[in-house]
Amino acid sequence: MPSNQSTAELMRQLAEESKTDADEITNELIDIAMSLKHRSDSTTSRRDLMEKTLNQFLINKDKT
Amino acid sequence: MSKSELWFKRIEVENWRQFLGKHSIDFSNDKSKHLTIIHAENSVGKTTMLNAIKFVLYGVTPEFTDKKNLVCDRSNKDTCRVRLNFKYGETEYTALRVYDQNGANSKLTMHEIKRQGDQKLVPSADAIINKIMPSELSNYFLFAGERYQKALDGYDNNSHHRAIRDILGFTLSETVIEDINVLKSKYTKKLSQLLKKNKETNNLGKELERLEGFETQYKKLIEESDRELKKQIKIKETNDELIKNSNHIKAKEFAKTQELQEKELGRTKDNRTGTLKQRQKLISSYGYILFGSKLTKKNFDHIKVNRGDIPSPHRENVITKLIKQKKCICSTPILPNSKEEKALQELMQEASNEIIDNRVIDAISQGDYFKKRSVSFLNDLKNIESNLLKFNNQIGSLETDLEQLDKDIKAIGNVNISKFQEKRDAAAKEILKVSGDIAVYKSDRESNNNLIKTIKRQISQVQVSSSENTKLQKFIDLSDQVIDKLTKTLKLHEKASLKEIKELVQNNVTQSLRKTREVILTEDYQFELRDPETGRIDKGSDGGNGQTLLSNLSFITALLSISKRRASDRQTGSIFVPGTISPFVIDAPFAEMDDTYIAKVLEFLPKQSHQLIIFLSSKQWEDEYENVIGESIGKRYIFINHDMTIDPSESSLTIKNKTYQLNVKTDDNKTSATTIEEI
Repeated sequence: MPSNQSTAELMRQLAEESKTDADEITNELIDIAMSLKHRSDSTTSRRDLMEKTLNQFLINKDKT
Repeated sequence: MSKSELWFKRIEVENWRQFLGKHSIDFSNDKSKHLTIIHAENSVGKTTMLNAIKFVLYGVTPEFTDKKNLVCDRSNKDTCRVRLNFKYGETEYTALRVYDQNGANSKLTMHEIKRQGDQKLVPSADAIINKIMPSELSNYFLFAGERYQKALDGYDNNSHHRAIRDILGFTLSETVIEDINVLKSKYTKKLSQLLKKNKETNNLGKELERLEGFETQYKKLIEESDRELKKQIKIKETNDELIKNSNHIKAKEFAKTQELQEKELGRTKDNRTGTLKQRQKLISSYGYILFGSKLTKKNFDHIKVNRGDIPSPHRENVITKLIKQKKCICSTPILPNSKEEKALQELMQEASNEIIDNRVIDAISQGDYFKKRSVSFLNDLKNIESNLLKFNNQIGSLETDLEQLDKDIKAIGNVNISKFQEKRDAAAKEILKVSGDIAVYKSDRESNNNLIKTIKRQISQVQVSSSENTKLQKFIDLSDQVIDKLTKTLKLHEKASLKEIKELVQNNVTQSLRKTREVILTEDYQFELRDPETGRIDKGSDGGNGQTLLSNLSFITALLSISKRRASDRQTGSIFVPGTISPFVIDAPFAEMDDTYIAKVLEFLPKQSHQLIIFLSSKQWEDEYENVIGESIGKRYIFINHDMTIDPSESSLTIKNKTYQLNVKTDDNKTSATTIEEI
């Protein structure tokens, strides 16, 4: 029977493996929205940055 | 410090109302002693100071009757100033608003304070302040107790809903969903244009654009219908409550029965829907059994009866007979060892070899299984059909009863009650219609999305060679995944948050109120207190102003408590970022509460707040409260009233056995009417 620790590790690994692209990128997008929340010109710059981030994510993914 | 935490550091007023010259308060920024308490007599400046905070941030003074006379009379000046220093996350700001009495206008300037003490002008200060703490949130966190003895339901529903969602950290995720939707539309348009340029994909591009257009329309329609549904539900509930709380005994009885029967009708309809789904599932999973059973009965039953027959045109018995009689049915002789007899023998072997035998056995046993299973399938189906019939009868009878109740209520002849009943009827009809519309939109949207997926699949099959198309498609797919994840997570967490707020408020209410009250929280974050015995809901100040104020304070601290936890959750990867964890500034928090309620509120307020600033009437302070909140107090001030006529001995305050005079007799009118002293 696996120990609690190894079960936890297994669960963590499983969770890590079952991560989707959306899981990986969503937190980054939230951080962008949060960091630009208090800028008056934020809508355009926020969307620009999100677009760049999504494209960069796809490029990195293609490389791996 | 969390990125979302807002701390008020210092307020400084100059010639502001009764404060002649400069006066300031440094608020406690110590996390373990986060309470700043300001004691004062009534009409000495507590509300004035709360309004100073509202004024510097938003340029408003909602609690002043005279909104234009802001400059201290004794100053002989035309302007007054309020400065607020605050810290948001790691950034420190100083905001200054100057009011000019001549033009009755004010101007805000704000600077970011750099580490070396340098100041950098912040452009669009109003916009920044409103993003840090939207003005609608100020209703909650800059709380005038005397004004808000009434329930918080006085606020406009939409701004209330928006404000609460911001506090809980949902609006940021919604911003991301909105942004990604905009980007997705941009990329879909780009992709359609590219596809249209290519002969092979021209039609697919057009079709994709058309379907994406439908998707936007469905989304909008569903959102609009959802809003309409909520509105109609509220109208119906309000009118139901009006009838239930009316003085007419018969109407009350009818309305209660109506409510119970409607609930029963809802439950029965849900049961019917569940049973219909069950039937559909049963038929789609086992319907083939019935077909299989009929098919095998027709083709294989004879095999069982007449074992030895083979499932082919060459019946074993016929062939054996032909060999025995040495003559075929066409009169050709079949002589022993002749090529005819050999052919028949081979045919026999071929037709009854082991493989064929096994196949026959399999087919027979499959037929048996079909037969048995079809019996239980038919029984299950029969039970389901009988339940459906039962539910349909119940629905019919409940609907008839409800129609009668509707007539009975209207027949009472009371104009108001008939009016309420008509309004709730109209709303009920609208609810039915809109719910149906939503179901249709959702189903159409699903079909449309399936078509989009098919088109996308087709596009990916023909566009492999075009890297630009693939890039655009990947971006759109990723956008879909992000939107889907955020939407699902939001829905799940909103439900959990409602439950959590309700539990926190219920806990405070149970521990603090003398009466037993059940907390009801709607999806719009409106809360009510219900008497569990009578079912009656306390509206406005029904339960007493003290009760309303206590539950309102409890509601706000519950929100703050959840926001605080959300901020730490964020560090472990949660997508929910609380809008702002704001200081909670309360003027006269205990306006009409008795000593027991005050002690209870003092217990939960500091525990569930972030930075707490209380302007407290000296009459409501008892030295014994020190035992309840003393450990949380980081800074403490008194407002001293300077008056030419007053007897100084008239008002004093005892804190930790030490007495402070709150009135000072002044000989001239050139000193400030109120001064502030830290104790």
